[in-house]
Amino acid sequence: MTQPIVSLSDVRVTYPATEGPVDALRGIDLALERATATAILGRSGSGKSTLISVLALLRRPTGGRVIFDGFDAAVLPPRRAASLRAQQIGIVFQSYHLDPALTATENIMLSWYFGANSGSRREARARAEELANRLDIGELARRYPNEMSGGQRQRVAIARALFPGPLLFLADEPTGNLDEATANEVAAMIMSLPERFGTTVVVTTHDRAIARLATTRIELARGTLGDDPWAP
Amino acid sequence: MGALRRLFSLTARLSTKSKLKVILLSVLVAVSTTVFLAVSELSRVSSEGLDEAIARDVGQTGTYLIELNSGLGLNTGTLSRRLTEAVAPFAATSPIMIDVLPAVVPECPPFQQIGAQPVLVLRDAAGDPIRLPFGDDLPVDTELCFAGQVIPAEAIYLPDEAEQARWGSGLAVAVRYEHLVTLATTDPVTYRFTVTTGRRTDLQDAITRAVTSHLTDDARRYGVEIDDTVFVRRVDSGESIRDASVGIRKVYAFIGWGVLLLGGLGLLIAETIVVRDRMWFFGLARAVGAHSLQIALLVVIDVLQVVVIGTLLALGATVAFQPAVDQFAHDAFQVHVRLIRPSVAPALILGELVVLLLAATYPAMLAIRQDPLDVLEPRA
Repeated sequence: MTQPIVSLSDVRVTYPATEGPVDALRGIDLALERATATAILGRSGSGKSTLISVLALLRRPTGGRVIFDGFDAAVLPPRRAASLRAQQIGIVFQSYHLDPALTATENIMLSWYFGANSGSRREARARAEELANRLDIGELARRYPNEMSGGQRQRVAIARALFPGPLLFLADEPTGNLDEATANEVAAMIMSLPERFGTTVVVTTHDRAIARLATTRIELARGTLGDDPWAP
Repeated sequence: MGALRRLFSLTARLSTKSKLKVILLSVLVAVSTTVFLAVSELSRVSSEGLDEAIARDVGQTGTYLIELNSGLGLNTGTLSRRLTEAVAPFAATSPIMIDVLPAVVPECPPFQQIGAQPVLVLRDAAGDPIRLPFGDDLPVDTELCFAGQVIPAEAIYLPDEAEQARWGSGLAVAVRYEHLVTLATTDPVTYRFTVTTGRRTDLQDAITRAVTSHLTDDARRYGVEIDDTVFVRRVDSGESIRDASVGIRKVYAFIGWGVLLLGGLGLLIAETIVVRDRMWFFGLARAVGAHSLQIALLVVIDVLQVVVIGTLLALGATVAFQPAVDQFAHDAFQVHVRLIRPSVAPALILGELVVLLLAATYPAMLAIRQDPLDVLEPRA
């Protein structure tokens, strides 16, 4: 059995709130294998985004243990965590977050500006264009976000997340702002990433049709992971 | 360097969509910088003339005259070296050593009419003759005669009032004629030594202590009491007029720096708005791997580009308008102005650094504090 890219043991996240502490995650155990696609299903407020933030090393859990590619997240200095995020983790958000001042290519290579890749600008641009071509958005390379549809923007955001060649690709409700047909196309693209890029994919969604495309499905309710809702 | 270049290029790209912001803020910096340069020059023009007049009339600030009624058996070079070492901690400018040749009555016109005159020979701290405008303002047939020998006009200098205040009274002659005067008398040569501290604090006691301690051994060897040989007195005056001059400079500095800081304040407000508007981007940057320093640098570089462009605009404008401004100042006030001088460079660089710090620090901290989770999980 191969070592998981990321493993969570008894992970708990508690938020302070005026009415008392809120448990967003309660004892999550999860191991993500290489080149797999996992869908995390859950309603709003179930803790999906919190789980993504823990997997992205953006949030330290209140309790439990997170091991990312052999590193214990609890003892990672912030700078090292940032470096891991830049090189090993790609994130896609529900609302694309593309910079309107940058073209599609420049948005895709955003992490290069922060040192994710050591190559020259020309090499970074070439890699961004190659990624765009592989995701069938090559013709958008010189366009600005306001010249693209929602689906095109999300594809550019996916290319941006894939730019550093991440081990782990995280998408938080990536189809939430798209119409059904476009959502299906984008979801299919995301679920194909393990096969095409060898990336481990984790997608949170409340859309069961999209979750169905993943190799592994997990239900998250009130901060607790359940079984695959479609398991026989 | 490569990482910094990437951040510079990203900031430049992000600015392309906000050209108007860059232009307006650069103009703001340019205007405040131009006013700063103009006020600096105005301060220089107005206080320089005043300071010259003050120095001429009441001496340079902190000028002391050290008088020795004996050379303590030392030659002029050794004595000068001893005194220079003694006053080194206090001297703001190179001290002057003056051989005071005994008062003798010149034997030929015109100076024979004015009676006994001490004759001064001036040297610098290294013992080399001081270059004085010998012969200027004197008729060409002026002569000074001693012991049947003649010192021509081009070796004579009549010190003005301020110089007499600093050097003591007497006629100055060129070093090469010193021996002629000594031939005319058997009295001993005495010495004066002027030192300018540039400080308003009274250092008379400190200088006296330093000089006596440096010459005590020589005085003992020569068989005289040092306290009866060395006398130090302060020769500058006019404290109130100096206060007025300093006050004028302070007012100009206040205006110049005030305008520059107001420009910086405007830049701070604008940059804070820009950063607040782009908070999502800083959160996104953190999420894709930027660390705090890189986020801060993005903001600092954004401000830096405006400060650099604004400063260059100001320098360009002052160079372009220099001839017209100089002409106007000359016609209206009979003074020449040069808005850009090498001497203003340190103040200008410091000023722009202060503007950069003022305008960038708070927005950079704001950007650093942006939680990337706000991008991932937008809060209501």
